[in-house]
Amino acid sequence: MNSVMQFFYYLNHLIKMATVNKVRFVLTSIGIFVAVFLFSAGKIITDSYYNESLKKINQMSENTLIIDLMGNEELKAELTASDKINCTEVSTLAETKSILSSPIENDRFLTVMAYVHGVSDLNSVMPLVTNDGVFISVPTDLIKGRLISGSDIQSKNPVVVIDSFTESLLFPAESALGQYIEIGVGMMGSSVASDSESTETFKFEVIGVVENSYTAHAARMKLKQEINSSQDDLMTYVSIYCPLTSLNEKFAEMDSNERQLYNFNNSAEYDSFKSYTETLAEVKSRAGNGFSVITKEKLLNDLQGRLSNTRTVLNMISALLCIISGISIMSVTFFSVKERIPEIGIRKAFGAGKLDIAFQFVFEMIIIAVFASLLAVALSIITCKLLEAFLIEILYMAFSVEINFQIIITPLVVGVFEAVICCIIPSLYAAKIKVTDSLRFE
Amino acid sequence: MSELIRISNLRKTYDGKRYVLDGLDFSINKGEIATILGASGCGKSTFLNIVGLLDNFTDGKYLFSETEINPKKLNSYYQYRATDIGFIFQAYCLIDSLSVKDNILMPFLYSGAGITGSVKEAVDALLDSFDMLNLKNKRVSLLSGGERQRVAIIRAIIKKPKLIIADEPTGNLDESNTQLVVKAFRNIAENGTAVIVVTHNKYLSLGMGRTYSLKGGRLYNE
Repeated sequence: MNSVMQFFYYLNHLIKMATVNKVRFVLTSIGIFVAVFLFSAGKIITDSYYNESLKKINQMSENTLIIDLMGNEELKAELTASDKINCTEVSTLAETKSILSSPIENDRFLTVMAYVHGVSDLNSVMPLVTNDGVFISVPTDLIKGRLISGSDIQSKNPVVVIDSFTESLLFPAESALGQYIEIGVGMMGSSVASDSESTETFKFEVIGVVENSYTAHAARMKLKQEINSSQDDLMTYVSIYCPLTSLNEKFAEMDSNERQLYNFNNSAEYDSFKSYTETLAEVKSRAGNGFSVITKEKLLNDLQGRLSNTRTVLNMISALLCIISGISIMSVTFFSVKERIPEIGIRKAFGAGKLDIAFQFVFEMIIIAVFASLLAVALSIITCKLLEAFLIEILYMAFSVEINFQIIITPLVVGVFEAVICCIIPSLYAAKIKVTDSLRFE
Repeated sequence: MSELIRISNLRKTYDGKRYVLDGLDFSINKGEIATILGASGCGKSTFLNIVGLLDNFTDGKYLFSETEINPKKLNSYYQYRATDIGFIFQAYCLIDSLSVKDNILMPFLYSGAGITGSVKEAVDALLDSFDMLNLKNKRVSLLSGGERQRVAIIRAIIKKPKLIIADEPTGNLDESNTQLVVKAFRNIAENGTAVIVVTHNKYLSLGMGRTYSLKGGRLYNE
């Protein structure tokens, strides 16, 4: 109990000494604040921007491999025939189809184009981010209804799951559950007679509504912007999900991007299949009909590569700011030591050793650094939240700020570390001051 | 009474040529008061700094509480200053930005003894005895000279040291405050603390134990 009281008394004493000289306190705080604020804000923006994608990719199993078939049936057959043990195969197929074209206001028309994703298993995750922008399936949280089931796939049921943006477009006044979406509707004014597939439309029943994905959110923002502008005809894209079997049955010839997903239970078998497909891709590439093999590692590396470039630039700017503010901190601390020479002498006369004096200046600096860093982190979070609101409401850009423990702790540690490093030399100088000289100091 | 300090043949020079202290002998027992008189610049403060382990000496032998002091390792004796020695400076040497209470408790930050409830009670009791209890939380920079000196005295005696060193403790005080200080020193000595007082004031030394004068770098009994 006594040690606790002693600790709090000492802490209170340090806080008093750290704040007694207002000029020193403010100047030092400003130096640390600026460096930490910019570092923290940059980190929040960078991490939030890429975090969504990283989260999706990290949901992907380590033993999952994705192959872009690019309509190559021969390749599909080869892969199907190859040896795979303890593997779940999921096929996805994405095709652009018009599903609605209707007037909205002032003779303007809205056309809704759908990326129709045929899936054999809606529970498998395929990451959102790719370099070539190929659309893929991404299951999100179910709002109402149900997801596509195994029996839907087996029975080739004509059912779809849509997101809430699609529901708001197609069924603005009512719930989408139990309603029908017609896939293959021709666009207003376009000639569809030559395309036999386009003349045939099929109704799919809506069985479930899921949360908007990142792309749906961005599409919603863009459409809002276009509606507010004077643009004549509007077009937007949505994603809808239906059983692959029913899609294949209804639309026999699809000019599509088909992907095959292989999910292994065992890493050894995964490694073996991965090696096989990579070799096959290389062979086929030499023959002029290569294909891409996408692994979680590759996706992560691609994303990390882009992220690391941004982070390198951010870290360099932060380091430069830290150096500049560090010089300022060191100067202010030296000035403070000079000003407090008589006090140092008094403390030494009453039993303070060299380490006691040095630690006092260091701990005072830590107190100032913690205060300034926490303030900087708090303000950077507020600033980023305001930026988020601005981007969404004014520029219609989808951007979501994510705050986590690391975003708070890392800049705080950086701020404290910088302050401690910069005050070491002045603290050691203070520790070495002779008692007799300091007591005579005017 | 047991001996607290014994100094033999002490010599001190700053420039290697002129010796401020030259063959000085001194001793003091626990509970004893010693007053040292001398002209300005005769080396009184130098002597006090050496006795208080604030400064080194060139030659001689210094025994403090039966420990021989090595002048080359002065920095290692800070613990003695923390627990066994209390200082009262002529210029008070208080930390202006702290309150009366915090100045008095400051030595406890380094003595290893905790700031317990009994310590705080002792602070209150001493402030009361010096008629300063109502100034406990006041900043020292707002006090008068007499009040500051009383705070300095309380700070020196609160940890019950073995030795008090007072350099011109009454130099800036009026008659009534001077008497207060003298009374305080007598009380301290009665509790077994040795007191060494340096002063110009010959009348202060009257009735305060042994009196010495410092001349030519040596101490002489008055």
